[in-house]
Amino acid sequence: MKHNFVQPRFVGARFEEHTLPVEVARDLAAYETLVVELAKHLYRRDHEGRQRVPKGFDADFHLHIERLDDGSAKPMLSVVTSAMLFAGTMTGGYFETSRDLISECIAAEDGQLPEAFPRELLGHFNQIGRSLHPDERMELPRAGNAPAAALTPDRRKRLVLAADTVYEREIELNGTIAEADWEKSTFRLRLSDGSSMIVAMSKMFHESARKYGGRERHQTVVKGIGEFDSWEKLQRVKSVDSIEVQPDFYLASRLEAMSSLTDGWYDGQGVAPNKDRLTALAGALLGAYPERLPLPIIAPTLEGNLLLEWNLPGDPSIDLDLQSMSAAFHVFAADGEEVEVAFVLNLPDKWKELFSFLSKQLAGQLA
Amino acid sequence: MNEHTVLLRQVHPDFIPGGALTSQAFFPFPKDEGKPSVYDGDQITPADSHQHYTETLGYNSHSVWGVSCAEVAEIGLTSNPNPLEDFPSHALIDFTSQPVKQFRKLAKKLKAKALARGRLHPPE
Repeated sequence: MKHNFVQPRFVGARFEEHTLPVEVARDLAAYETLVVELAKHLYRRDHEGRQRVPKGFDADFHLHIERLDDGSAKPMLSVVTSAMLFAGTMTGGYFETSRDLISECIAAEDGQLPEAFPRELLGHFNQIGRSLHPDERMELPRAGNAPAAALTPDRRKRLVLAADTVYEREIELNGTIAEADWEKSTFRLRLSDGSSMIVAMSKMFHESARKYGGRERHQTVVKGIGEFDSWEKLQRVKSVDSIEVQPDFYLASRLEAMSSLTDGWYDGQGVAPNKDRLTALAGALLGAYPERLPLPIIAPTLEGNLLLEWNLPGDPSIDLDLQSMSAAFHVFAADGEEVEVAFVLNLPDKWKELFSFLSKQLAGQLA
Repeated sequence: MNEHTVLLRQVHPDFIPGGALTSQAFFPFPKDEGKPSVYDGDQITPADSHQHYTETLGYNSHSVWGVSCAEVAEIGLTSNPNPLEDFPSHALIDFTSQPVKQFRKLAKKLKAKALARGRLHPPE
């Protein structure tokens, strides 16, 4: 049997099509957990001397998404139970009381949380609503005609911090691997602001950590859960969902920027660089561009080609014709002469030849 | 305009990635027919030229950089006033006396002069 239990309403741009992103399911599962834990607490409070709830108290309490109604996105959560548990007859309405108390807790002013809500359960708001973006909220109905309780990312944070010094939210950190601790299976991720975070890694990532550790051109992206204090300072990486290395990050990001250009990118003029040729170029450069060479600045030309220019004496540059993959190198040499060399980069060996040439030329400019 | 006049060039954001000026900022475009547009710095300030370019004309400009008429002449190019209706400070740097093959080198020389002068707007 089933009966309606609660119908949250998700509000925000992501929910305007009356759909629910699958990641929100995690929030609803966390909500279900809190309903159960709070119901157990309420039962024990009413039955002094009992350390445990009766056997099977929550065994048959399972929330199901029955349907999704319009009005942003409104999943109807129903309890699917055996007949005996129906409508709280066996559990004395503790789950329903728990549901209402959670809504009151969310709706309460700071410092005025309901006395019946135990502080030790506020940590559950680390999970409930974690998937919400800054401009989104999850509304929960309240008993009577009271306005709905709105759980926003900020409200979630304040609820957790009412009982703890840190709260959790999703993170995406970009940095470089500064050092690794093989015994603890962690590495230190150096972030762009100079700070560092210790990140746990699986054994599978050890090889990548060895390969890219200490190499600043290769960016590591860590996604997971972080613990923040009330000043929004990241205190710790609590858990890691994924770690990805982006070789030659700067070059990759510039080529990606070139790839995002569309015809007319220069105030209505300008041909967009050919995306297939850019993909081929990325294949030739990323992971292969010599680490000892300074990175070029990359700019588009109005004809849909690329300029690679090094910020070095003599202004070395390459005008790269993407269609023919021909590269015209030029530099003002120290002796007042100019060096001009053309390359056709139609084979992998030709790229090696170019890199070798650049190694000599750019080293000369650096000397 | 005289030899001391600073010619103001608006630089598209794609030509100065991460704040690093490239010679593409001074390279003549196909529509320029070898004569890229600049503002006559005796008639308009860098800030006002940026406002005119982005708000009146509706184009993109990351920042304003400049070269003097004397510096343009020093590398074998000329500069000329080219007032337009509602755009009296319009001027041109003329590359047409040089072969197209030389344009990159000349643009680099202009970039070097502009870098030596520093960014004119927004102030560094």
